[in-house]
Amino acid sequence: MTAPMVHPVLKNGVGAFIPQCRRLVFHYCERSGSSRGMIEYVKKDLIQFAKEHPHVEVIVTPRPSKHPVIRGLYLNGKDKVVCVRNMEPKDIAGKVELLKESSGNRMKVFKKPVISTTESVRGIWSPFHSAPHKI
Amino acid sequence: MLRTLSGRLACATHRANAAISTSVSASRQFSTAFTAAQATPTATAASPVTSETSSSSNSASPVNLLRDQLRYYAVAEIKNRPYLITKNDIIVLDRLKDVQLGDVIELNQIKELGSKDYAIQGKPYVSPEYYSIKATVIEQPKGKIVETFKKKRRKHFQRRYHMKPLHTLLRVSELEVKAQ
Repeated sequence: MTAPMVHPVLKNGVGAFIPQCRRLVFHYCERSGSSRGMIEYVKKDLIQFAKEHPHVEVIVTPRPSKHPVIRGLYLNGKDKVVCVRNMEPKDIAGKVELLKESSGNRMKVFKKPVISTTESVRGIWSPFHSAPHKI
Repeated sequence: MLRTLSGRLACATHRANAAISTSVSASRQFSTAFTAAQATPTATAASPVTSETSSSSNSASPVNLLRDQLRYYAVAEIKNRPYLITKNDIIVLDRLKDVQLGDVIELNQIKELGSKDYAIQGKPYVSPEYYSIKATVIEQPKGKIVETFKKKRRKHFQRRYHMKPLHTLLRVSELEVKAQ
């Protein structure tokens, strides 16, 4: 009989902070015009980015006859893909920042200002344990 | 529920001892603390707790009473908005332009510092020598598309605006009350 799987409760940032983006793959086509900005970015700005972020594995691969694409792989195993066809190097740098700064989670609506899994400090209100109303 | 009841009964004995200014509710004790240099100049004169804090090594001082309890919360003001936080929480803010991933931010605008039975309310902020609160920038994501739809009926006017909000997520890595 196997023991049940125990999943560690991860609280990134409490003890140590681990950046969530672990790999960025840059696909480009050498012939097509939509990859022009991507090729220029790879030649000029990408090396500086890779040096500044040693925790991110940067891969550049030709992908012929397709639009240029940046694929980010994260520590939770999920990936995010961004098509950067016809973009200037400045805009591609913005997309790279976007991928680098997010985690693998889906984009979602944040409804509350604080996300908490701890019990409430003051406890749940009960009419039997609070001061009676006085007029 | 039982745990709550016994906890309140146990702390009832403290109420008689502490000379703390009380608010309306009998079950919780509130103390107003004067603040450090960033406070308004009139804060110290009007505070009823001035005599308490002068004997700061007293173990019954408000901060030590609060500290002896198990868990704390704080109401932090970030960019003029209040956030009620405990340790390990994630704060969702509008995007901060001047932070990077992994930066540690010390929060020093704390309006209220509390535990189960005691709370210290700042005027306007609690003195930073009572606490140490730090938050780490863990993520700066884009949110889901938000649609704003405006219509004026019978006037042939309607608009759809779309935007993707930018956020900064902070993880509260440390929330400690310092012994006085």
